[in-house]
This record gives sequence, structure tokens and C-alpha cells, in this order.
Amino acid sequence: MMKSSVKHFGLLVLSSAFLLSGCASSQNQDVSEVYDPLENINRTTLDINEAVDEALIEPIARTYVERTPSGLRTGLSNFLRNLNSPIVIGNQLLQGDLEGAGNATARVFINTLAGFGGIVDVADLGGIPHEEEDFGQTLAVWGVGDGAYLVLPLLGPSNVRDTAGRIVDSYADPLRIYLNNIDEDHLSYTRTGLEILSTRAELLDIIDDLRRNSFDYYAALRSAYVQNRRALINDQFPLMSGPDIPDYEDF
Amino acid sequence: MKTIILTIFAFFFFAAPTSVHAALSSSKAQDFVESMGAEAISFLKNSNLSSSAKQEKFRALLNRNFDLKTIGRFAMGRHWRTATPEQQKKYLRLFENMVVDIYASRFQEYEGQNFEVKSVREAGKNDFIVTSHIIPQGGQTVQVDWRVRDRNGSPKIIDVIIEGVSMSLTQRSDFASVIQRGGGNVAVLISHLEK
Repeated sequence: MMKSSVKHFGLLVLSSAFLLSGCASSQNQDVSEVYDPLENINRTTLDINEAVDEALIEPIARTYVERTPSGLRTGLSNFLRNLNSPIVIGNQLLQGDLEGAGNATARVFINTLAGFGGIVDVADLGGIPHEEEDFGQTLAVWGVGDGAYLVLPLLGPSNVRDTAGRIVDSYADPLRIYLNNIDEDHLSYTRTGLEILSTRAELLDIIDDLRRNSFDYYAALRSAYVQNRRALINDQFPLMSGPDIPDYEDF
Repeated sequence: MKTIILTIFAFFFFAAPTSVHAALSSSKAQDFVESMGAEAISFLKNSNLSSSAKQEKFRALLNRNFDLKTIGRFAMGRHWRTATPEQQKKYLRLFENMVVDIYASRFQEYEGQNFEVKSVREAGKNDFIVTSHIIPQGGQTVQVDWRVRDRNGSPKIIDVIIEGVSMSLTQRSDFASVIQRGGGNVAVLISHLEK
């Protein structure tokens, strides 16, 4: 019994090392070469995700957009963002971004008190915009590379590092821990459900567009994911915006 | 001595025109994106225009303001060199049609979003990146960056970057995968474009 779990652990370490070995190349700006050793499995997972999405998640998101006034949708999106503030603040601190942590802290106070519990993003109107942070980004700032590209069942594009980050964020989330302690776990599930709904609704146009305008949707989505994460890790650092495009003179 | 004079002569002869071309400034780039956005929104929300008339206007706007050759060339990546001159020509023609269709459908679904130009900065030695915000009716603001380059004296867009995702680079990854999975043959991509 003991022996086999040790063996399993060894296998896990070995396979993690294999999956993380793409780290060095992740610093390369050319994301057309993404480290994707599990491409065949990933493609299958994406096919399944697409089927589930088209049959269930997308239609619900579309109905939500059609039936709900835009003001309410913005309100829900802001409210969910506000609930996520402890994660953002924690990760800003772990990244050593004191200014970012200060801004995120100011935002949660302003929006909770003056923005009806976070429904109105008053802080943004006052010039403190939201910044998205998570533990995957923190790991990247600490120098951890992307690792292998992964398509997670239901959750979609990710990589080894961001998957680890996701797990850490969800365990460390004070709100989740609190709801768990007072035996109100169902509220955590409701929140997750609403997050999926709100996010999918906001992505409707973008995903439609990518599906319609790519020959190989898998490759286009993978590229978009890697680029978007890189922009987030660099906090939309200006110089990182898009690739360098050569000046072609030989037409 | 003669070579030095020739070199100096050649330097001025060839360098001077490019420095005139590089006269694109940050304020010009910003004005360019701002006026293009204003023009697009003005006809997109004009309810007197039929949707085919809008599409037509949009195509004209894109052809005028985008450097489709550079975009197409970049999207082909390193495979450009393996293509024959005929394939290159055919590819660019098909690509230009496709991109105009894509962007036309991308921006045509105008639903009252606000378009605000926020800032501009230099990128590399040639380009300016103009950052804009598109504020939808429901949901969060989307950051859209426009890479502007001077082409023969007039500003042209060579890339659109939505929340850090470059349309040109995404297309390049897509095309590279199609070619690679087709056994490294450019003809496979061209036949996809023909469909």
C-alpha cells in the first residue's frame, strides 16, 4: 500500500518534470511555438468541451444575455469581481506589487461601501481600474515557466503552471474557507456557477469570432490563450503588446 | 575616396526618402485611429443604411486603412519562403478577401459600444501602438490596441490586439498549424482559403 503510493508519487514527480520542461522556451516571445506535448489528448478534450459548450453552456449564456438588461449583467460581473478581491490583493502582495495591492484594497473598500456591495465599480470611474491577478501569474512573476499547454475538461485552455495556480487560489480563498466553516458551501457553488455564466456571456462574441474565423480552432485558441496570459502576467506592460512585425520590402 | 563619396551619396539618396516616410508621429497615429473609429461608428449606427451598404462602406474603410499585404505576409510566417511566386500571389489575394470579411463581421455587430482612444506609445523603430477601450453595453471594458505603421506616407494598421491577443499572431499560429498538419505544404492552406 505504502510502497505503491510512493511509486505513484515518483511517477507524478517524473511526469511533472516532463511537463514543466518546456519552461525555458516559454520566455521566447514567439508563441506560435507553444510547448504542447499532450496535443492529441488536448485536442480530444477540446472536442468534448466544445460539444458540452454548444449543447449546454453557450445556449444558457445566450439566453442570459438576451433576457437580462445590460445594467444587471454589468452589476453581476462587478459583484463577482469584488468577491474575488482577496485573491487579487494576496497575489499582488506575493508579486511584490505594493501599488497594485494598495489599489486593489482601495477598490474593495470603495466599491463595497459606495458601490452597493460591489455592484457598481465606483473605483474604476474614479480612476482605479481593476487588475486581474491569480496565483498562476504570481508563479510566472517568480520565474516559473508555462510548462506544457493543457486543455482542462470543462475549464478549457490552461497550462501546468496556471492549473497549479488555480488549485492554490481556490484553496486559499478566504471567502470559500469562511463559507465552508459556516456550512454554507452551496453559496460557493452558486458563486462558481454565476462566474461561469458571467464569463461565458462576456466571451460570446470573442469565441464566436475565433470559431468562425479560424481553420484550426485548436491552434487559434491555444495561441490566444498564451498571448492573453502573457499580457496579464506583464500587467498589460506596453512593450509586450503584440508581436514585432517586420517591414517587408520585397513585394 | 570615390567609394566614400559614393557611400555618402547612396546614404542620402536612399535614406532621405525613408526619413520623410517615418514622419508619422504619436499624435498623427492617435488622430488616425480616432477618426477611423468615429467614421466607422457614424455609419454603423446610421439606421438609414441597409446592412449590405454598411458592409460595402466597411470594406472600403478597411482597404483604405489596413496594410493587408503586411498582415498577410506576417500571417504566413516562415512558410512564405517555401511558397512559389504564384502561390504567394494567389495567397495574398485570397487572404485579403478573407481578412476584409473577418474584420467586417467583427466590427459590424455594433450594439452601442463606446469607443475611446486612451493613449499612444512608440513600439519598435517603426510603429505606434494606439490603445483604445471598447465599453460594451453589458459587461467589462475591452482593451483594443492598434499597431500603426507609416506606409508610403500614410498611416496604416498592421495589427489589432484585443486584451493582449494579436489578431495577426493568432492567425499566424492557425495557418502554421494548418500547413504543418498538411505535411508542410502551403497548397493545403491555399485550398482552405479557397473554400
